[in-house]
This record gives sequence, structure tokens and C-alpha cells, in this order.
Amino acid sequence: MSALPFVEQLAGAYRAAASSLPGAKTPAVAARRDAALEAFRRLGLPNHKLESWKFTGLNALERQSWSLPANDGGIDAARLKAAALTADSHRLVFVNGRFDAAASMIGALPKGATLLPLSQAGDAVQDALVAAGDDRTVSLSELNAALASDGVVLLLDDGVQLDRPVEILNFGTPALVNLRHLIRLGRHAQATVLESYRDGGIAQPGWSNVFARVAVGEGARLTHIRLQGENPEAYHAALGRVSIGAGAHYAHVSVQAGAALARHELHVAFAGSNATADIQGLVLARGKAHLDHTLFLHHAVPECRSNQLFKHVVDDEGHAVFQGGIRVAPHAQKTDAQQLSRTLLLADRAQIDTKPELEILADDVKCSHGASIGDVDAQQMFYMQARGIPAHEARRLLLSGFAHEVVSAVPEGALRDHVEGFVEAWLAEKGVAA
Amino acid sequence: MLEIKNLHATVDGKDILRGINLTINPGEVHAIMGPNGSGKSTLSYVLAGRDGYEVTQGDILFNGRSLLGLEPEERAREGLFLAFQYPVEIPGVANATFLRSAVNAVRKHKGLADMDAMTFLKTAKAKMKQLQMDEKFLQRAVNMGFSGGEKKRNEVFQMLMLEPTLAILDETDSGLDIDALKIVAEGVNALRSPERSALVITHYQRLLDYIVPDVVHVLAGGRIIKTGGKELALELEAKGYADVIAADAA
Repeated sequence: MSALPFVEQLAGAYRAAASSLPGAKTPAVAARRDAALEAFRRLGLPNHKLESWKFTGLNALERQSWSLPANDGGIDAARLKAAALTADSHRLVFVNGRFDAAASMIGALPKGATLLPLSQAGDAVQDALVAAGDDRTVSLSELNAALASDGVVLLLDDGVQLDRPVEILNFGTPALVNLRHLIRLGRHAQATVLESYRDGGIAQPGWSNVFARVAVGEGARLTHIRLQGENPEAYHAALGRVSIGAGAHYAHVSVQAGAALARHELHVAFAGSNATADIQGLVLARGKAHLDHTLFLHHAVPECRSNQLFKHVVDDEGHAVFQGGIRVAPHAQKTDAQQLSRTLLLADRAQIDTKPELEILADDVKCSHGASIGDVDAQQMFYMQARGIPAHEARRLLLSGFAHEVVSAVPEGALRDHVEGFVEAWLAEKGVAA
Repeated sequence: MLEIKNLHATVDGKDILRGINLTINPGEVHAIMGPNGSGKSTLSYVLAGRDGYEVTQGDILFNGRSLLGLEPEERAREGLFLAFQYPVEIPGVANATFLRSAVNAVRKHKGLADMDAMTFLKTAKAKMKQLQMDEKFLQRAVNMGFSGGEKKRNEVFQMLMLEPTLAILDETDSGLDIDALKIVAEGVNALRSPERSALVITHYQRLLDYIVPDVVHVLAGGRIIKTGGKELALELEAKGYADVIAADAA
């Protein structure tokens, strides 16, 4: 292990890599990256003193020595096939934190659509890195801004609709990988995006640090699916910032079933009225996995609806975290914000921290939150066993049924089959303790 | 087929069954009638092997083998089927998925290959037609949003698919109107054969007009206090349980 402190290791890695990072020749980008690194050096990793990091600690990251990925090697065909959608998609594959052109298949796009890896995005790199309104006090997204080596840029002009899903497929590697995505839908545009983080098949732990900026224009519709199935030794931290225009619809489904330690933090802000956000999540944790979903729903304008449903299946010594923040601004009347967290704890040492955090400053609103924690239902088990179904299979069916509510939020067809397959693979992996 | 010998059972430390003796031969249909709280449902759960229903004395032999110590799924695979008084709702699990798992678990036990999806669907649709059930119930989650009658029909549907050698019907008639009752009874009668038996638990005689029993037992206070032919059911319907219970106490 290097004798240099953690933060200085990363600063050194930045200095070595800076000239080859996307946008290095654009002064505004280079300046932003330098400033972002300085911000990260100053801030360090988030710790328990921050309210939103009370249940999830990143100390383990500081005990390892991190480098940026070597720029070699691809992904083997079998692993790619197993992780990719079977249906046609606009597919961008990332290996070692870089776009893998051979494994990707962007395909034909309608007029008014831009879909590129960040490393080839030209002027759009500046959009992805230097955005007004960036919160520059968040250390992980600053680290990402400094080190982002690639990502996806998806820009749709007004009224443009993509028929096929955009598939972002990243394979983990034993290094620190920073991907940065920019997804911007113009007015009345429509798209479906599947973001998938998969095990690259190398046992040493890697660290994925992902940032995504998503803007859904007026009347636009974005379905955003996220699958986190990293190597069981890996670390995964993702931050998403979503803004939703008037009358727009944002549907998000996040399934986390991999990594030793993972956090998906999502900030959703309504920018215009009559917009809707349906946000669903599923955590499948076993072993010592620590999987965190942290949400902030900002109802900044009137007459918007948000719905959060998060489900957790925790086995062994797994630890799930759900933090559901809802803020309703003083003038955001007629807000409808619902939140539900449901958990099945399958083992004595399995844990969940589930925390609603509602700040409601308007008076004419409908807001609710709820949480339930339990084990698999004994009556349901008996009913299935009384039909001859073995206990382990009855349990698997019940867990699959529990997950189904989230899975069924994915549009029917190849995409839902894919997500279902991802969930079922986890359930089948180990005969879940009977 | 089924031999219950001096069966005592407790639930939450309370004695519910206090020495039941009952023998059902292959091909026979027995009815158990009795007032509320007599132990009828407890008996059905004890036979099916539900957790928390503890046998403290006696034995249950099914085809000569003791059921005590067998898990519910092992009993089911041996050919025992309990039609629940209150069928359980299972969100997110399609009826078809559930039932195909059950059918294949039973087939595996018999050394048969899995029933493929096509054959399963064909068989299921035929049985549903027999019970006048809409095929859409296959894709719906198990018992979710089913009416009381639909749940009972779904129980009999499962029974027809699993073809048990001993069917225990726990108040399958409750919640059914007369038309549904006839359909359900026809379903049960369709399974009658010299090799199969049934134990029909009911509060009312009505069901026994359609599923005609060979033997009728009266259960009260956790014991069988009277046994007779099918005419006993009519007698109970006319006079109530009080006389029989009083005669037993005397």
C-alpha cells in the first residue's frame, strides 16, 4: 500500500491523467477539473457527521490504494452477452472506465438525437462537466468531475422519440472508475435508458464513482432503469441529479443486487407543474453487502406528483439503507408525494435503516410515508408447502412475488424480462436460507 | 388410506383435539360435522402439518405410514390435499407459476418428468372450463382480489390439477351460492374413484346433498361423539347438535 494519504493518491492520479481526460484541451473544462480536484481535496470523503451519511460509511475506501484503470483489455463475449439486453438497443459499453467501441452498437438514430460516449462528445463535454447549478460542495461528484474518463451523452431535440432503449453497460475493473452521464430530453421527447453496472469478472475490488445529470424537458417522458450488479467485493457510489419540466414524466427503477458497499443517491427536482416522478427501488442484499438508496424529492413548484416505493430483501449479515427525503416548498400547493418502504429481513443479523424525511412547507398537499419490516409470511409459506412445494422454493417464489411490484414498473417486454432475469438470478444464486 | 388413532393435539398450549379415532378406507367419503369450536379446522391443519399445531398423543397413518414428523410438502407429495377454509393471498406470484411449481413437485416425487408449459396450460384450461372459471385467473396473483367464491373454486381447481388420493375439504361450502356450490361439488365428485378418498368438513348439511358421504361423524369438544350414515347429516340439520352432545354427556 502506498504511504501517501488517500486523498493525495487520488490527486497524484489526477495529475498523471489530466492531459488525457476528455475535454483536456478546452480551458473551461480543464479549469473545472482542477477546481473540482481542489474541492475534493478540501472536502475528503463524506463521513458520518453528515446527516445523509449517517448509515453508510466509506472508511473502507481509504484503507485501499486506488489507481485509475489501465487502458487495456476488453470484455469477453460471453460476459457481454450475459449482461446485455437481448432486444435491439443503442448500446454503449464501458470497460476500464472507457468506451469500448468493439463491444458497443450505437446504431442509427433519428434526426435530432445525439448519443455519444463522453470521450467523443466534443463541445458537449463542457455541458457535462461545467453546468451551472452544480453543487460543488459534494465531494464524490467533485471527484467525479475531476477524474471522469468517459460516460454517455444523450441529447434529444424537442419532439424526438427513441424507439429502442439506450443501454449503458459498464463492467467493473479493479481500479477507480469515474463515469459521467448527461441525459437531456427536449420538450415532448421520449426515451428509455437502461444503466447497468456489472461484474467484470475480476475478483479484486473496484470502485465505481458515477455521476448522472438528467433533464427531462416539458411534456417529455423518460424511463430510467438502473441495475447495479457489481462484483461482490466492489464499491459503487452513484449520484443522480434529475430535473423534471412541466407536464413531464420521469419513471425510475433502481435495482441493487451487487457490490460490497453501494449507494445510489438521487436528487429529483420539479421545475414545472403537473409533472410526475415514479421512483421505485429494490435492494437484494446478502453476505455482508451494504446497499443504500438515498432520495431527495424537491417539490419546488405546485401540482406535481411523486411516488416512491422501495423494497428490500436482506439476508445473512446484509445491511440495507433507505432514506427518503421529500421537501415541499411553501408555494408548492396541490403536491401529491407518497413514499413507502417495505423490507423482508431473512436472517437474525440482517439489518435495515429506513428513514423518511419530510419537510412540508405548503398546507394544501397530500403527503404520506410508511415503512414495514418483517419476515416471509408464515401463512403464505404453509399454503405453498401444503401444495407440495418445497420450503426453499416456496420462499424463492414469495421473494420473487415481493420483488414483482417493483419489477412490474419496468415497461413490459424485453426490458422487463431483462430486469426480471436479473432479480431471479440473485434469488437462484444461493438457495436463500430456508 | 387414513387411520387416525387416539389423536390429541394442542394449539398455543390449549387442548383442542382430545382423542380422535377415525379410519377412512380407499374410495370412501367421510363427512365431519360439528358446532363452532369443536376442533374441525384444527383437525384439518394437524393432518396437513401446519406449524404450531402440536400432536401430544396418538398417531396419524396415511397408507400405513405415520405422517407425524413429515413436513407439509412431504404430506402433499404423498397425496394429501387440504382445501383451505380461508385460502391465502400471495401477491406477485401468478396462479399459473404457483400451480406449476406444485404440480411438478408432486410429479418429481412420483418419479415423473416436469410437465412442460404447453401441457400444463392445456390441462389447466380444461380443468378451469370444468369449474366454469375464467382463464384469466391463471395470470392473476394467487387469490389476490378473488371473491370468496372464486377463492373456493381456485382451491378445487388446484385439487383437480394435483389429483390427490386424500382430499380434505375444510368448509369449502362457506361463502358459496348454490350454483357455485354445485359446480364445486361436481369438481370434487369428478375425482371420486375406488382409489381416492375425501374428508369433508362442514358446518351445514347442504354440501352433503351434492357430495354424498359414506360416513358422517359428529365432532364436539375435540372428540368424535357420534358416527352414522348419510342420514345422520339430515338428522343434525333438523334437530341441531344439542341432542347429540347431550346424549354423549349422559
